[in-house]
Amino acid sequence: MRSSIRRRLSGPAAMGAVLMAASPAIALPTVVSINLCADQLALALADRAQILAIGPLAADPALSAMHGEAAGMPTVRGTAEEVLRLAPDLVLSGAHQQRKTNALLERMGFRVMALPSPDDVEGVARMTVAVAEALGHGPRGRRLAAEMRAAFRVPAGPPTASALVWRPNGFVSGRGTLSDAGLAAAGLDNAAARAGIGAWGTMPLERLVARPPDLLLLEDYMAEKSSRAQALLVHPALARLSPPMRVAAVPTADWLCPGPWMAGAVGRLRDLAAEGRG
Amino acid sequence: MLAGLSAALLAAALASLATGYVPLPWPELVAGLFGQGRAGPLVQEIRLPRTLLAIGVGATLGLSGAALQGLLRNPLAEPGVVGISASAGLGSVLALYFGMAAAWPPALPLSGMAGAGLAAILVLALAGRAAGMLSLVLAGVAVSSFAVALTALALNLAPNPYALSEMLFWLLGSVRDRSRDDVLYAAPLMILGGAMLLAGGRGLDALSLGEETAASLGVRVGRLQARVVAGTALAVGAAVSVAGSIGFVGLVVPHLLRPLCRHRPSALLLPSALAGAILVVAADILVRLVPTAIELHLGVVTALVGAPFFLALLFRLGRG
Repeated sequence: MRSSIRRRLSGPAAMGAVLMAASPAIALPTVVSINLCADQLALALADRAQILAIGPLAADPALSAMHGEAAGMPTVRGTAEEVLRLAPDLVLSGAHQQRKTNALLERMGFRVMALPSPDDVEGVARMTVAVAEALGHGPRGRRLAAEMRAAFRVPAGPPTASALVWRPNGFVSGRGTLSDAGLAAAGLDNAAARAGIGAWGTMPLERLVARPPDLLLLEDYMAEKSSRAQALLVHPALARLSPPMRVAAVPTADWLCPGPWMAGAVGRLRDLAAEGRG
Repeated sequence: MLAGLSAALLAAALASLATGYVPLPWPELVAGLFGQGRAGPLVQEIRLPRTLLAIGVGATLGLSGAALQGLLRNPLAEPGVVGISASAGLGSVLALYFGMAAAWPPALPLSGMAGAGLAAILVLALAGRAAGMLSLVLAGVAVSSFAVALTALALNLAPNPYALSEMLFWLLGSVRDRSRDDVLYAAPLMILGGAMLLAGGRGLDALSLGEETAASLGVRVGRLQARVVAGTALAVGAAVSVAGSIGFVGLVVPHLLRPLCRHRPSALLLPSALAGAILVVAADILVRLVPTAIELHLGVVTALVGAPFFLALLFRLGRG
């Protein structure tokens, strides 16, 4: 029944969207987000009153850059049934794990934005603006996108040091990733890209020992939690490097999901690069 | 016993329809079932497909487990033994890996079914015409190992962590947020495959006396073998390709019921289908009620419940 009503309303609703740009008095679309990265975009772009519910992970400081804003928000597990109950104007979702849910919701007449996982700054900026416009906050989105583009601007001059982003089990971020762009913006040379590693690969411990970067970057999530990956890091071979390799952590939440908050990760990288020079 | 199991399945199905994230009073639920009232879309588009798929998947797994245990005369047989589950899982994972599922949603179930079909053809060809059951099991194990290896390869080569977690979660099995389309893809094949398995009951009874005796009773063992494998491929292939892999149901359910069916393979088939359906529907109710941050996957629950139960069963058998 709801879907037929929605279909019938699609004409006037589309007109409403046009009117909305002109007069902000018209109610902004409500939104439910069912994906961690979408949650953060919703929190960054929408008014609090627009958000009917978000996922349960958005309030976790280890994973979400918007955890402060997420505190106290109603959460859902992300099932179609919950979305149907809340009946939002827009559903923000992911393209992968929510695939079946997205299809079902679209079938029922909901507007679903399945967010991609862009791997370059331009893609993140475009996604930010698209979501902002869908939420009725185009100017806010364009401003955040512009700020993010500015944060990622690569400084003039050669890189000051080499760095490697080291994730659990030796996963590193190579050429053409957002981490790579962040390192470049901080004036750091990505050792993984230099080693010929594409977007997502692993760096053998042997190669790390043979050609250690000036700076080894861990996720703080990984630095805190003990895991096998950390055991690899305290490998005697690494401890015996001379001069010792600098090891620092970047908050996982700042670059786990693509979005304007990644400017925070770039800031942290700039600070680390400056400490290395000083 | 059939009446009791049917009544239990009906009760479980109603409980499943009544379980969810939106509280629905019974009158609204019933009206919704017929497309009436406010709850119409919720019940018809979300809860009904979910419950129907849980029933279909469970029945398929229980039935094919019973048929395979009869065919191979081995209580440890289940759909995984003949390589069907792993190959259907591989088909689905490949559809996700190559982005076919994103470009055209029906590619996900179709690719899973293709995997199951290919596995059945391979296993039967490898086992050879009218060859013994041992070669069938060996061929099944070989195909299964290869499918598992290729699945692991796809996971290993996943382009990013999101794609990896999507494939991993798919393999854990779930009927969450499936639509009526999924039921439409899977149901005909489940019914066809199930009918093929049920029709093999008499042959399985004869086979319980031994392959040679069965042959002397006029059962063509090679054809019976092909029928059971093909039926399993259709039914389980369809189940895995819409719901992912759900383990232990095909193994445990026939075990539970065998003493009640006087150890006759044909008498075990239909009860196993009903009990399998009850088990999966109950597990699917459980995952919605357990307050975890994201829903538990069905394969996790059936394995958690099934494995200790199976161990206890073996322990008791060993002592008795």
